[in-house]
Amino acid sequence: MNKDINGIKKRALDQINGAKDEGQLEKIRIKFLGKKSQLSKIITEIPSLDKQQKKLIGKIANQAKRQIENLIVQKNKNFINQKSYNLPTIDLTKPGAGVKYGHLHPITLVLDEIYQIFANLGFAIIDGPEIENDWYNFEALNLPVDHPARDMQDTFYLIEQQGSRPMIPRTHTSGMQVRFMEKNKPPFKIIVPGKVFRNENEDATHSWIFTQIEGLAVSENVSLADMKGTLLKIMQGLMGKNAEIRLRPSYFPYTEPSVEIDTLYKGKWLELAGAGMVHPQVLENSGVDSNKYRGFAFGLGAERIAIAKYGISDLRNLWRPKLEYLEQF
Amino acid sequence: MAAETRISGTILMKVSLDSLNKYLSKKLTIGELTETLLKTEIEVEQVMSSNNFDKKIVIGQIKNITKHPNTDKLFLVKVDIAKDSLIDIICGAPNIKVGQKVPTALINAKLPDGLVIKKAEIRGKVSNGMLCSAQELKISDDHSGILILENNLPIGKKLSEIWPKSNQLDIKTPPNRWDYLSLIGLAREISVFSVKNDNKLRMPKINGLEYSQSENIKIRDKKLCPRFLSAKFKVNNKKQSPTWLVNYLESNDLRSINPVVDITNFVMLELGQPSHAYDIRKLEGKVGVRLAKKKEKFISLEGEKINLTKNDLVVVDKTTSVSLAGVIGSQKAEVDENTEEILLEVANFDKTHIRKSALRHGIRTESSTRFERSLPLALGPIAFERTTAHLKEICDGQIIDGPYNQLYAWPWVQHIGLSIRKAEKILGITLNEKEVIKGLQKLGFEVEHFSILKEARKHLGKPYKMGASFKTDGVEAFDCSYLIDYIYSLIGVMVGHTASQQYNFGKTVRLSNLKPGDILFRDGPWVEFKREDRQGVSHNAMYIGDGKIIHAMGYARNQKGKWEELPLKEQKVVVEPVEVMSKDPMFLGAKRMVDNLDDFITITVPWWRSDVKIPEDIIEEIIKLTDYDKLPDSLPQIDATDNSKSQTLLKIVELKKILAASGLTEVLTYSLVGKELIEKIGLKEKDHLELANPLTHEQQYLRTTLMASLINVAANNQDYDKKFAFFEISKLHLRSKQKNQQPDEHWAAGIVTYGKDSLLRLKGLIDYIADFYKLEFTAKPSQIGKSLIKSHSAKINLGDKKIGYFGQVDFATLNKFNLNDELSYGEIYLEPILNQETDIKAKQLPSYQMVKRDISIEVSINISWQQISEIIRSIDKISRYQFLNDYQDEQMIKEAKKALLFRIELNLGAKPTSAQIENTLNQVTAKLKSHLGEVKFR
Repeated sequence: MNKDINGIKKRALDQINGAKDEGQLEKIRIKFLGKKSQLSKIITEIPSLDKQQKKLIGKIANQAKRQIENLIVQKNKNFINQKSYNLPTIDLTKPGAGVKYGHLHPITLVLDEIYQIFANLGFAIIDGPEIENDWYNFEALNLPVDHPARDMQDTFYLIEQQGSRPMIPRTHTSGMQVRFMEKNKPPFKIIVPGKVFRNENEDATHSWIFTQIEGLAVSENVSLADMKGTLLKIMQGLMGKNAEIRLRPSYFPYTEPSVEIDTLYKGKWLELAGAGMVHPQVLENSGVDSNKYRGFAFGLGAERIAIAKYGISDLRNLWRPKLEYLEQF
Repeated sequence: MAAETRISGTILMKVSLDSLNKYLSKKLTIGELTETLLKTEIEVEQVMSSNNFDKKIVIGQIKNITKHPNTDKLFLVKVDIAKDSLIDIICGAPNIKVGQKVPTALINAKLPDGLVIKKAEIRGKVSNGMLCSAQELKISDDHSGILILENNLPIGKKLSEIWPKSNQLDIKTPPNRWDYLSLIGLAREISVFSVKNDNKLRMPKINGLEYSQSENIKIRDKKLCPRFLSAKFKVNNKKQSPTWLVNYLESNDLRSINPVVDITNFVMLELGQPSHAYDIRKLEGKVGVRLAKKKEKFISLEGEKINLTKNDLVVVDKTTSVSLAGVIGSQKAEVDENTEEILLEVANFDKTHIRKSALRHGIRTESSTRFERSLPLALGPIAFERTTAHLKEICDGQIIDGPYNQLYAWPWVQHIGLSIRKAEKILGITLNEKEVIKGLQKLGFEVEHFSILKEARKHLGKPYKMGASFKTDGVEAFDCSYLIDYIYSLIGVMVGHTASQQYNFGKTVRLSNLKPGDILFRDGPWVEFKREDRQGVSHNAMYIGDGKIIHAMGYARNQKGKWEELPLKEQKVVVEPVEVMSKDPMFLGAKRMVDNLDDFITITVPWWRSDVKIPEDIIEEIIKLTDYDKLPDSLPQIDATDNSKSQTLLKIVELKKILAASGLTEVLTYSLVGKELIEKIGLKEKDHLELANPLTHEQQYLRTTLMASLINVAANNQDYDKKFAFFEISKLHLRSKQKNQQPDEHWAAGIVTYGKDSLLRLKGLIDYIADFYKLEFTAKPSQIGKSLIKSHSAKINLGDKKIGYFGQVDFATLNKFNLNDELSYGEIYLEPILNQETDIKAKQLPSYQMVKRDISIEVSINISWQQISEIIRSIDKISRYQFLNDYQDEQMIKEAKKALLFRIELNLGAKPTSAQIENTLNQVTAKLKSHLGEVKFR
């Protein structure tokens, strides 16, 4: 019996060592360690042996079993380890499969950042109508009919009117100042982003449609300095800590004092926004007591920021989509 | 006359540096000037440096442009450089067009940087010269394209002959500043902000004239022509204008015509006041100003026939109109070299009428643009006197009748009171009152610290006059309330005209708290008012401290306590003890008009600053003088504003991001489209809101769908890839259901999938959106519009509401867009989705496993997955289900059948028996059968 066991063990170990893969190894395991294997049979017979034999054969058989088991485990480990080495060659520089991220439009990227910065500053982000009537777009903003300041904004008109009021694809987002103040009591701070329209020929740096971000903060104590600080914060958020802005005097019928804000881009000052303190008459036209409240307002050009941020040189690329161009963003 | 030269841009103006420097005590270089202008609201658009160009640089006209056969980047241009002599030039600039006049450097021409132009061969073609950019000519650093010259320049003329002899700036000035349309006005502002300190305005000396007030010119509507200065002159107009005058005009972009016209133009440039000279021999009878008659004819001095309207203001003689007032003169009375006598007009016309006339007839002139900005009444005499002096000097002009000065309005002087504290709060900085006053004085404002006592005492002893007002009495007589009204108007506080209004304006103060400036009121005798006009407040007086008041007094109580009119001598502004008011039985109380009287400065606005009307206007001047860099960078101290209103726009960005995450590219297209594009997708242009004044026919209508624009994008991007997908989120504009209302605006997402499997790829994206929002969209197959294939399109519903549609674009439409492969389009209206609250209630997963079974059935081709899924969902033991696959083999196609494979998961408790499972499955099959008719289970 002792001999048998040694014979089994030798064959088993030989075969295990000769096994080519996990499948063969499993067959060998069943053959030598399975319920129907010789070794199992011997082990089941052990209790019927005499005491001395029991001790000896028991020891040898169990030793053999353990040795076979260990080698199988060992061998199996080798096979598993080996598997990782046996994989076919792969070019990991080639593109992956399955998912592909698309591309957001540069104006959306700018707006997204702007929304986040303003939201962090506690501004609400308000939507307004793209088609305005003459009152909100002009008259309530101190731009009466036949005022030469209307020449500052070449205007499209719709054929249809709202009652007797002309309807206008808004020339700026400032009309929403009035609409918002009519419905909301100060204090508040909001931005109103959106498309605006000007009846102007387009070229690389001017488009007849563009994106403006109106800002309006009204309270009993806002100041021009608050406006400056806010816009500096925005530009630092968009362009980095070193962003610089510059204020110049300007004229808008709906702000007083009025300023123009430039930002430094490639060593040159780029016009970024018109701004100022809301004209008391505009507050009154919107139902806000101008003796008690004041406000600052600004109109920021998203395209201008896109120029500074992404170096966009021709604005027409933003409105005449070429996927090849847009996939850069 | 050149003052009436038509101009296109209304706010752009060319000025010469030399002319500006004439009016400055310290001359500025072009660099110093542009630096100075940064501190004003005058914007420099372009700097044109003077230059003595080589004679071989001439004005050419582009006659023909063709592509260079050997390279895409160059053009072969035929340029006309003399009468019909064409030369070939190769040019790469993107901005050239046939018909343009351009600076053309001929062979051997020497450019300002020394480069000499040679005959050149470029890629097999010969170039005989060069078209020049502004940078190449060293007149500005603009190198974006060829410099395009004005179209009225003569072909072949040497550039040096037409080029300004002086450095020139194109400036843009704000429309509230009439004075910026004059060289003196510009120089006045520049002198204050000059980078060279103590730069002073050099105002030319102007000699006053004695005028007759009589009505030389018959003015029908005096509101429309509040001032008219005129005189008849004998002149010698055969002379040449002196060189300085010709240079002055040319360097500021006007042409010299003849001495009389040149002088009026010179004065207009210098002072901003347009004027007009008529040839007296050509005038018939007396001259007047009136509104035109309907259909009255007018021939401008350019020979243009104009049909006037009833709203056009005209200057007329006995028979016809001789000028369209303030806009353009007539041929009839034109001054020429033979003119010997002129009528000179220096008038003030209503700004709105002038603007409307100019716009109505499409004639915007140097003159009309100046009138549009509203000229001050005080300007007229200065301009008249300046013109008279030059007529005398240059063409022996002598007044033979006049001068006349007809004035029909009060030349208003604006007083503004400004609280320094208010200015500090609005600006957010600390101000030094002395510096503020000094700065404003430099700008010509009269400023002083406001002392109400000093102001009141100025009028002590002036006569009392019932009903006195500024218009009738200036500051020579007062009644009680006018005295108060006037003094408070000095600080811009409008307390009201009557004692009663003033009583209501003020805040009550106790007698024990009286401060100088407080007003005491009492009732009293009502003499000249009817009873119903009495308002219970008849007299008031100002407290001036030390127990005294000042008031304009016409009545007093006599010793018996009865009211009595005082003798005329005693009716005046007097100081009396406060008890005269406070102890009177009819005393009504004291009121305070303004809290911080000590804090005010008073400002008298100079006549040329008619733009300054309110304290905020002064605050702007203060910050301009202070330097914007001194403003701190503070943030508004306002609590965060309720952001529930922010959701629409934030969610739109979120949606864009998830669409980009699914691999789509976002595009943006023009919100205005043309008829052609609208019709390409089978829509009618009449269903679209239309612009009255479109820029081009491609941009004429607002969109009711993004479909056409986006199919067009696909067509323009076919070479990008075989398959691609993109989206746009923009607003649609639908005509409002009620007539004459603002259009309905809807946010919409348009999605295009192009190439193989476009429709299912699109459906996948729509499902993806629904999943993201945790909403259930249902697709209702139906005919959508005219350009989607009926069998391949469906409405998208959210509950019962249609929120969009999608489908495959039909082949006829693809053809119209020259699209080569299939394309599907979907549009989702966003408001219903974005406004939906998603409400997730987490269910606990059972601790045991579900029983999973794949079920394969064969059903009629007309059965939809949606029908099947509704059945499955109605079985409550099914906890989850999933579509796996559908297909058809040839046999099924013949029989109009299809096979469907789906998975269901049964929730049958921890350890279901096989009988339980069997039972449930039978229930499923039975239900499917009963609802779907013929079902084969496989």
